[in-house]
Amino acid sequence: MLLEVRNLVKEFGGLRAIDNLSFDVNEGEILGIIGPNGSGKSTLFNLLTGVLPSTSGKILFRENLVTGLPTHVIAQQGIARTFQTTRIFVDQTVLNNLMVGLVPRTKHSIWNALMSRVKMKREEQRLLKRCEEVIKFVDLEEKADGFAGELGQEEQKRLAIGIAIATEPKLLLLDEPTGGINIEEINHLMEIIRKIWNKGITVCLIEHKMKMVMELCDRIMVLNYGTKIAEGIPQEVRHNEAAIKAYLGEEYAA
Amino acid sequence: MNISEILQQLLNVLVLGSIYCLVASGLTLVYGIMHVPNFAQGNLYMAGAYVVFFLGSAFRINYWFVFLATIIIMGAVGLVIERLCFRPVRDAPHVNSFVIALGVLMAIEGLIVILFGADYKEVRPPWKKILDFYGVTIAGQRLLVILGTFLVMAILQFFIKRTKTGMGLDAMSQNRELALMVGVNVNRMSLLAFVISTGLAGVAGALMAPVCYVYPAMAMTPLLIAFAAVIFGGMGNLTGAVLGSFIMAGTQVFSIQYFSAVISDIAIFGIMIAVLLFRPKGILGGRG
Amino acid sequence: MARASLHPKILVSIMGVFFLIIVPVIFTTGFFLHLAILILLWTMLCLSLNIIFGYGGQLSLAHGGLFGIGAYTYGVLATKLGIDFWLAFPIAGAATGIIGLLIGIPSLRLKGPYFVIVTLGFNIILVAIIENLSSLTEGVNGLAGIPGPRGIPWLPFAGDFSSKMSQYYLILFFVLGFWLIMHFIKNSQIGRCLVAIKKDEELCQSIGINTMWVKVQTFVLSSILAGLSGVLYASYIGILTPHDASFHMGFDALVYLSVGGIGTIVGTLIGPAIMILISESLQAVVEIRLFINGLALIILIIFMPQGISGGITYLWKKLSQGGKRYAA
Repeated sequence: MLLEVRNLVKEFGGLRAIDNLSFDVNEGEILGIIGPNGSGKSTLFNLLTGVLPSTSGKILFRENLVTGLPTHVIAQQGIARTFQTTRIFVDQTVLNNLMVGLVPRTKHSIWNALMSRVKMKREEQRLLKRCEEVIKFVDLEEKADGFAGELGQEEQKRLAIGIAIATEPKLLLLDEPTGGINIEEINHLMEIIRKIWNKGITVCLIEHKMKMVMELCDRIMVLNYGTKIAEGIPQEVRHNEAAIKAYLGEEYAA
Repeated sequence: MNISEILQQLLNVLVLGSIYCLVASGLTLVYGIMHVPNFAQGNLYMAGAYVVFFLGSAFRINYWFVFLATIIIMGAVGLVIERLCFRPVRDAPHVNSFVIALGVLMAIEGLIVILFGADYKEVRPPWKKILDFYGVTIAGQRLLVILGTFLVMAILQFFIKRTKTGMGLDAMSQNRELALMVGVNVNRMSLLAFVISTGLAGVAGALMAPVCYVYPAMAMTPLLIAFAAVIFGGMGNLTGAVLGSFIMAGTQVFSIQYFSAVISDIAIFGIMIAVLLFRPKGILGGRG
Repeated sequence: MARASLHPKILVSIMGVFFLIIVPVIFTTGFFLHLAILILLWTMLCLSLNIIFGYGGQLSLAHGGLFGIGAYTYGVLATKLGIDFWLAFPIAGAATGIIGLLIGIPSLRLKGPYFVIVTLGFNIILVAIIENLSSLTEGVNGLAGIPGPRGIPWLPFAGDFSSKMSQYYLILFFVLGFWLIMHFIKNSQIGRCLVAIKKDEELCQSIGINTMWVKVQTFVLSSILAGLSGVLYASYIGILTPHDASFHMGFDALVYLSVGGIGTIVGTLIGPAIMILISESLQAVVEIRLFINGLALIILIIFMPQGISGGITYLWKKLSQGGKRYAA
């Protein structure tokens, strides 16, 4: 069990965004998280990564309690994420963006900057190699020296994923990685996610595009109003009444 | 400590609290609407006092005309500053507006020192009466400070809660994005907020001028106490600013009475830091 | 066609350093040398502010106070305890660093304007402390009779620091050293961190960077440098008053840095040089200087936020692009 969530609750004032949620993520699987807007999906990711403090409940990552730990510690433990709004360093080159992702793996103190300059130079070379691997992995080789701000939407999303996997995580949380891109680009991203899974990284994927979720994911969890209303393999969930109601209800309103 | 001493101190708290209240209200309004911490607010307060001094000594007019003229002049100054200094950096990185505010602070202080020098000036109070009851002496002007502030804050409250423009201002300071979506005019609101804030600072300076000496360094302490009050109450929260002002004034008077001015500074500063670390949105919650 | 073997920046830097070295030879008058020394001292203060503000993106208004603490620590150690300059120098630096740590840890948790306000408050407290420890600091009367640095007879060129010229070189030595430190940091892992944190701190945290630790280190280094520049100031001028620790010093450093170019190394010299030379040539009285500084800050931030060095870089790019078009 890579990730265990037990009785997680998040309250904002009187509102329960996450209501007594418990689930597991198995090592090596791709878990899809779906649900209508406002069901708490992004909030869940924020809780898992320590961006938001939980009201109560436990989160265990590789058997260690991570509830209440600061974000950077959780990231160092091996959980990486992307954000719903693509967050990258727009005025840096693609290469530099990825180099930042590698910083936590290095000695990045002022002392080192001043005292161990030769060692740092060698380290830099090693990091560059690793960066080039990641760039190849997310198919951004030609744009390596270009500025991140000049990339297209989908390329930026690939860069964000690249930064996340540069940290060599065990668990990757992807928050709607295909927001606003076309079918071809979606397939490209799906390929990359499969490549990531092949490398042994467990993936949790928040998505709205059903086809993608059905094809990619080993299991799916359906959230509504902060609770789990369905869970299982894609076929099961597809025929689950509660899940359909949650979505149909939304379609009716739309 | 007998009753009259306690009452005397209470009066001091009311007077100081009133001044801080005016300065802090302007500060919190501008921060809520424009997201700018106006470091120059203390110097605007000081400028108000100097305007009163200048008009009073140069043109032998009645204090009340001078008072009104000061409010108008300070409002106009606010208009100029908002237009020329803050509007151009609205879309620049946030930190640029901080630096601009510091620049305005320095320019105002520099200008005042050039025009008036750094020595202490005196303004004659319009009502020289000194009242005395229950063993408590209060100079008439101090009473005016309290009453004047009460009046101005009441007018402000009416404006914000009862007029359309005021309600737009209130809405925007609480939820900028929503207000924008509803069609509130950012330019106008920013200008209005700033002009009101300099007007309030001007009122504070004008009320206080006959009470204490007028000198360039009178700007800093009210600025920091006003910031402490605003942080205490929550940035953007008008009620919080008022509450915070009187609490800070109380802390100041109490600390000076039993300890020293240094302890008073440290106490107020300590409260500010404690709030920032443990309840960053302020005790009453603001924009944060 | 001959290939340029030296990047223009390196060439200009070498020329600049060379110029600085021969300044005392060109300007032999005591007055000009005094001005040059003042410019270098302000360069150091600007440099320390640049590290936390230019690199770190956090506007600290406590640096006047930190400068003053360094100056007074040396002053007290030298006059009250008779401690030698070369021993007091690192002690004062360390002391300022510790105070920087104490200020930085609570302050750096705060965002944007709150950090600015809190550091301003800390500066006021530092001045109050200096004024109130009058048994050590002589309070508002000022500390006088602070000795200059003792010569080191067995070190060539450092035998005696009584002449202005030798003091100039001593200070220049440290300025060059501090510039080197800044350069190393800019091009290191932590430098990369600082740039990233400035842009998106949350993203950095989600990558696993302990942003608080990075910011605290940066603030402490910047405090140490501010303190050390205070020591050199005290040892040169010989007299200190609490005003030397006031936030006005920090304001002026901010103005000079903005003129030169926030975030640049060369800006830390250009800014003070221009502003001090202008105010000297205009025979500007202190009062006018405050007004001019304020005005300059406003105009600069609106029209040229990159400062003079930014303007020069921009022009250079424009010119070299124009050349490229013809080179085909």
